[in-house]
Amino acid sequence: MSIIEVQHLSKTYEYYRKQAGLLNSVKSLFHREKLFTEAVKDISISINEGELVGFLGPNGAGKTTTLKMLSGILYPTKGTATVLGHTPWKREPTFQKQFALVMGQKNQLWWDLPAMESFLLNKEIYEVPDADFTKTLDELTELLDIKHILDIQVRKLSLGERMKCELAAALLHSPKVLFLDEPTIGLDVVSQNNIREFLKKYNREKKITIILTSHYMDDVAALCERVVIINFGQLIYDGSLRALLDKHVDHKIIEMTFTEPVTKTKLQKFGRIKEWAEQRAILEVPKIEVKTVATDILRELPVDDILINEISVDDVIRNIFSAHRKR
Amino acid sequence: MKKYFKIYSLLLKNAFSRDAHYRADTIMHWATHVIWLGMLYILVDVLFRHTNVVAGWDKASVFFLMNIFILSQQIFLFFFRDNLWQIPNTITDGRLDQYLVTPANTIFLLVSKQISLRATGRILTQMILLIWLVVHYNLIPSIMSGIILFFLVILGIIVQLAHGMILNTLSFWFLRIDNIHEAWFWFAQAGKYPLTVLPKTLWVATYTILPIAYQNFIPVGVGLGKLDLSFIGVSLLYTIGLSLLAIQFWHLGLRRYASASS
Repeated sequence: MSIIEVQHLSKTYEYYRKQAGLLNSVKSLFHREKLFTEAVKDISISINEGELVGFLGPNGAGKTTTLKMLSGILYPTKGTATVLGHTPWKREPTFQKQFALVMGQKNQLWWDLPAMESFLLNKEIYEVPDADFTKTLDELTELLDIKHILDIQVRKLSLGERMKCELAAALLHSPKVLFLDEPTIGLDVVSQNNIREFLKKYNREKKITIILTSHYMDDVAALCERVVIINFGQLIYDGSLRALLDKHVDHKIIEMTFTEPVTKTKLQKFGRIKEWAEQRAILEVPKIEVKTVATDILRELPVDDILINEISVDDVIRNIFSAHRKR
Repeated sequence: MKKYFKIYSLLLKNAFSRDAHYRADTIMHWATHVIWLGMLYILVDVLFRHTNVVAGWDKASVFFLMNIFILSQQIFLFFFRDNLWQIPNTITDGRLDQYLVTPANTIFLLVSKQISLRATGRILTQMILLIWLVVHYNLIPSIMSGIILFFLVILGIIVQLAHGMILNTLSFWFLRIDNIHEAWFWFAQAGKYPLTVLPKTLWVATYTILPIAYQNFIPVGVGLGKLDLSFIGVSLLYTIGLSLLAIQFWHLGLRRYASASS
């Protein structure tokens, strides 16, 4: 069942050009050039209950603007959207009680107070009954492993601990939809992984619908079966991550080390050389030929070790963006 | 309503927890306030050594007028001022996002988030002074006058809040409004002096086009029997009208909100 419906959504921001220098500053007091930028252009998508969808795009692509319109923060310039049957920018409390927004770069927790104080405040704001609050809090603190830090001032927590508390604060009212904007930004690898594991488990157990924007492809690869790619405000792909990779990945990577030096000339016939040193090389080989090529390499070259890798999701997405930019 | 009382009681509790860390700051604020207050009273005292009455206002009434002004400003600081002054930054740096997605009134959350307990010492100081003035000079003619004064002071605080909201809402259009804010703040300070000493046109302007009289002068003027009782109705209408205008203006501004890039 569709829980989020977006039709021809667009958002145009207006801003003023201001050139550097004192003279230009004085000029701008009398005349300013008004400019417009289309952050989101005619996006239409539909998201079903329980889906975990990754929004991908470079900086300024329009991902966050889309998320902000869907959570009711921004009014669109054109188009319509319904989330859980509500128009988000009407900001009806019945709607607001059913979703949560977590922004990796902005805190909702009180900086000078322990996270527990913010949780209690959220309990009253979202009118969560005592019994539900205790039950949900127990579950979340267990899942996120934050029981021991609830009474410590937020400003004294690490970034990873803080993000876990932000997630707990956002989920205390058991929302049906969760918007996550860069939830792992700035976190170390272990913390990133903890957050991903939590989201995966939470989505599986609670059937909550999650929309995630992230610059880290690892987030998307680990969590999302479906991805929506936005570039220059336009939707350029909406479908499964697997299908995207199948469509755009026609190569594999063969990484080898040798027991004695091997020249570039000897390697050229096996595929495109990506990296080369005398006793180490990386080749790009068409996917359908990879088995034959690997067998030939093992037979003809003094191979010490060989690895066959997929092209990284990061590279695939980068290629898609650069192809789209050239168009 | 019950929900908002619960939220407010938690905010109050949080304010205690937070301000307990800043005891030295609270004491310093109180000490500088007492010094400033002393200077102000000495200035007025010097003035009245040369005359007994200025446009119908004697020394005791002027002291009383100034005291109510400062008291209402401190109460305003206690509840609202720090929050109001943070609104422009909240808008320009995109922190307003979090307020807009919560199922509670955005204006309520914005203006009540932080309660400045550091104003408590100053409020108590003003209260003590006020009681001394009333008892010593027998200023309030009747209980009814006291009730009217109290009611109009409350309206005056609501007027301050509505003025503040309207000024801060300008942040949706202008990146920096601190200069407008500051200009209004200092201009409103004139309300601690008897405005009827001004030429009639200027006095009328203070309750029409430059409405600073509602915050303090009209409450005290009516309370002390120096202004017509019709000002009660005028004040009430002005407060309701201005509050509604402030709310509508805020919603108009919200349509322009562009958040901030993350």
